Amino acid sequence: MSPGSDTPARVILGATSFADAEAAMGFAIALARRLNGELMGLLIEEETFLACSSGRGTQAVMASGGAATTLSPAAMRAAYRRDARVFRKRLEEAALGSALRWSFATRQGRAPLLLSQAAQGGDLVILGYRAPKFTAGHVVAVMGAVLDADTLARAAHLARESGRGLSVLARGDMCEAVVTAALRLGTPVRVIAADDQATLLHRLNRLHAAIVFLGGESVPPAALPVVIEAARAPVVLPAGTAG
Amino acid sequence: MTSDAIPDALAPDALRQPFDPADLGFETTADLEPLDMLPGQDRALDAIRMAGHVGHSDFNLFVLGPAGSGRHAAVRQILSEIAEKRSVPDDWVYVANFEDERKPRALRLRAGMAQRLKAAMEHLIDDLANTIPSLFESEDYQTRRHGIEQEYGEKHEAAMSDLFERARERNVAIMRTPMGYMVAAMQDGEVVTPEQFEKLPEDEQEKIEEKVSEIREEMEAILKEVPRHQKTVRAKVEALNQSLAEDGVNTAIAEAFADLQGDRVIDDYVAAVRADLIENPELFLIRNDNGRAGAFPVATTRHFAKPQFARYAVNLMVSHDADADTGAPVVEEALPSMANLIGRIEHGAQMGALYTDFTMIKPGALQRANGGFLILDATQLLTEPFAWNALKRSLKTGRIQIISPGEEMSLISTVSLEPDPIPLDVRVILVGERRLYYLLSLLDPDFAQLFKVQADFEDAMPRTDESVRLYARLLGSLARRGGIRPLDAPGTARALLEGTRLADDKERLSLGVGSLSDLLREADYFAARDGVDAIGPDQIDRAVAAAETRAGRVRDLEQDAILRDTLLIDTDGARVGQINALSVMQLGGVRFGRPSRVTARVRVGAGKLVDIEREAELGGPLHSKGVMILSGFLGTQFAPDIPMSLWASIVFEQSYGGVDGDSASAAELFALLSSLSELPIDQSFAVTGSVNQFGDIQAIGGVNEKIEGFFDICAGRGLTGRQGVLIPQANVKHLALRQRVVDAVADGQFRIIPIRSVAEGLTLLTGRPAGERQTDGTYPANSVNRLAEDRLRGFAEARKGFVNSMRREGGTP
Repeated sequence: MSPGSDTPARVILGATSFADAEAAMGFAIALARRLNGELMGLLIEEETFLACSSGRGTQAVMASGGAATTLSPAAMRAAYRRDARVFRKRLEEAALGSALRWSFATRQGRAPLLLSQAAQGGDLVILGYRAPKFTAGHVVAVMGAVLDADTLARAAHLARESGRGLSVLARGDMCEAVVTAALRLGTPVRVIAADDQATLLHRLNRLHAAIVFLGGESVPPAALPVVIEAARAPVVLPAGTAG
Repeated sequence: MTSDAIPDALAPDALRQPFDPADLGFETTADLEPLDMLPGQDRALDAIRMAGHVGHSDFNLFVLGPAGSGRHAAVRQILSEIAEKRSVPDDWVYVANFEDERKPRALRLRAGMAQRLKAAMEHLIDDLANTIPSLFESEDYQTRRHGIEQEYGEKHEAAMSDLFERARERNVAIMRTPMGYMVAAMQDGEVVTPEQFEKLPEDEQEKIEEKVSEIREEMEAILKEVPRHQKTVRAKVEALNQSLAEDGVNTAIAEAFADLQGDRVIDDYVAAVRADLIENPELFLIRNDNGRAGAFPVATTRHFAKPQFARYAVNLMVSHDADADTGAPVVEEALPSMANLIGRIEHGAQMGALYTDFTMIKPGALQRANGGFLILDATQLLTEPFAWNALKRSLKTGRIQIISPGEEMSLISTVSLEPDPIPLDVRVILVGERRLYYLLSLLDPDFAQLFKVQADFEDAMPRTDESVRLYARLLGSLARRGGIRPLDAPGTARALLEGTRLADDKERLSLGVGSLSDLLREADYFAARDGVDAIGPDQIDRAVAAAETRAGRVRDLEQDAILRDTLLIDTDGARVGQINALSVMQLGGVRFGRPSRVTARVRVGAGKLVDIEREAELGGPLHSKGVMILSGFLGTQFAPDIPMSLWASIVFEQSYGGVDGDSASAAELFALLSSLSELPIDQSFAVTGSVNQFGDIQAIGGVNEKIEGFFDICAGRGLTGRQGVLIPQANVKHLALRQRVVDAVADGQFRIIPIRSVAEGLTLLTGRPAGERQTDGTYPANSVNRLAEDRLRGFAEARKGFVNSMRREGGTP
């Protein structure tokens, strides 16, 4: 977020596959409309995936549960090209349907780094993720040492708009402040205490979140990959992470 | 009478036979009891009654007779009387076949039940459209459904959570890629790449591969469970939906069909509807208004008209009012196209594609007439493509199967339906001309099988005291039915006379009620102008004259051309080989007679009689036949002992259209014999009649018009008293001439002379005896026949001499 501005310039929907991007597309559109920002799609050809698809030590499973037998860097690149085409098309349709400005790009590299590079001050970054789910799932906000009011407000708004419940993971001493803030926003909230990273990961892993908002300073940059993995849901990165 | 005797001209009273008003016994036809059925048509009417009562399916009826004979009205009246005494037939509806949408079901219901079933179904759908959404929006349902989804969702999520935790504990990463999930070892928070992996000691590699494999296998197992779980959740939710819907549907059906229970057909259909409703409750959760309610509250909306409920519609094919007691239907189809007969399946267009369903099935005349009578015009039916075959197929199979012309020709490629055929129990009545009946009998073997009864309407009835009384009542009935003035007794007598004229026979009365009705209505017009209360003879005369004048443009042009000598017709003087023949022209509904000049020329030849009309392909087969008969007559009448050495040509002069019929064969023979005998023919006469090989003069048609045609030409030039027409004796009974001709004959200005033989005609036309063959084998000297025979013998001699001279010269004759 740029200094002195309340409005992000862009909502960046980043993903390492179209399936993940699609799962977060609705949330990204809702956020972009609320913030009246440009919607940017960013498909990241994750270097790790390409590297791991060429040798031993790595195994693949298809989304249907079958063993993947054709894993190779060439096949992975072809899959990326296919995903890029579909991602762009869907993004365009969704953005035009909501009268949003939009753009699309593909990058090759490490996802966290690329997202950091792509995001400028004021941008909001969502990392897409799709997991098979039967239930609607909550909108989850993760608070750090301080109450990130903007993140909480965005999460509360999205929860209301999508008809989902709102859960907040916060340090024990923050719980009361979170409840008070949420009540001011007019949104019922379930506050779950998570005083350390292990607890946070465990709780997050068990929450079945629909989307996770990471508040400012809630997660150290180094822990971001494991948090994202534990969330198994689209993750909106803390505003301060970008740029 | 010997051949040389001259027959007498007919007296005026032989030319028409008027009716005496005093014999009729009433003042006006208003005094007469109306006639409820056509007179003189007993044979046809009995046939119609028989066809109406006989129960066998193939005793359909063909009503044949001329147009305007009252066929349609008689059929309608008799069948309506029979139908009234029959019970009201069953109703028929089409409903959806829930097991196969392409084959809609036909339901047979007691009369009056179709409307009730339709109303009950509409009520049911409206009711459910309000109650089912309420049921599914209820808190109870939402809780139960959420419970099902929660149960299985939590199982899956818990398994995934456990797996991810175990993986994290064992330093294994699970990554989502465009190709699915990738499982790899982690070291210091980073994925171990293959390059790093290869650098690890072998035992460590094995350990890594072992734990990666374990996690992968577990993941495979969890992911493979997903579809099964989803299926289970779906099944449980569907079961919940059905159980909820079942309660709502049962309640609504019990209410809607409270009054319709006990009818097996309806009970079966309702059972099928019930099962389908329970299976498809989601139909009631579709919103068609995009969230915008209409002007009326939802509860008063006509939900049954919404597209998603079309499958529960009741499409009425035939619906009767059971309480009205109207009897069996009598249906007339004015446009008996295939679709209008057997019904049709309409299609709608949507996004450029054609679609249809059972609600687009439309009934035809056969469905409407089922259980009663169907009256069709045969000509209309036969000129509609595929209609005749469709009707026959329905009658033969005893059921109505709706197919389109495209399907019949196997040309259709769009989606269509195969509705249940409807059993057919109908009596079909075809009304048509005789020609059609005989053609169908000849050309279509099915016709005789399917139409076993014929009702043949008479053209005329004999003139008797009884029939005259009936005819007067018929005239009165026509006047009453047409809302016009009655006829007074003299007017009736005049109309009766016109009836003989329409019948072309003074001993018969025409049964062409159409023509009579037209005459009376026109006479009524003149009566109104005259301000009289009843139609009299004067109005009838004026109506007849007006009708002839209106239709007489061509006739007047023809007469004008003759009177101005454009068409050459002599009405006095005498000429060899030339005679006035008479023909009748029919233009539309009008007939008139016209004279034609026939000429004949002869010379030596090889026995050939050239019919120039035939050579020029202007003569019809009957005309050619007549000319050939002349040849036969000539060959046996004259010099039978020597070869015929005549070459003769006969022609209708100034004839540029076709000539057919043999009514001029006598005139042609007279012209030929005049040419042969070189005796001139009196041009004051015109001749009509056909001739046979024995020289007898035979009856012809249109005698009245022919006489009047020649009379009008003579009158136009001025009657001389010599002029007249020779007609066959057999036609005297057909005379019903107009008053102007009768008056001229009475004044001695015109003659109508009946002849029986060629000899009589020759004597009249040449003024010389024809001559009978004597005991010595010769005809009397100077007789027509003698002169003709001598000429023929002369031709033979000349030909013989010619042949001999040619032979002497070595040539070929």
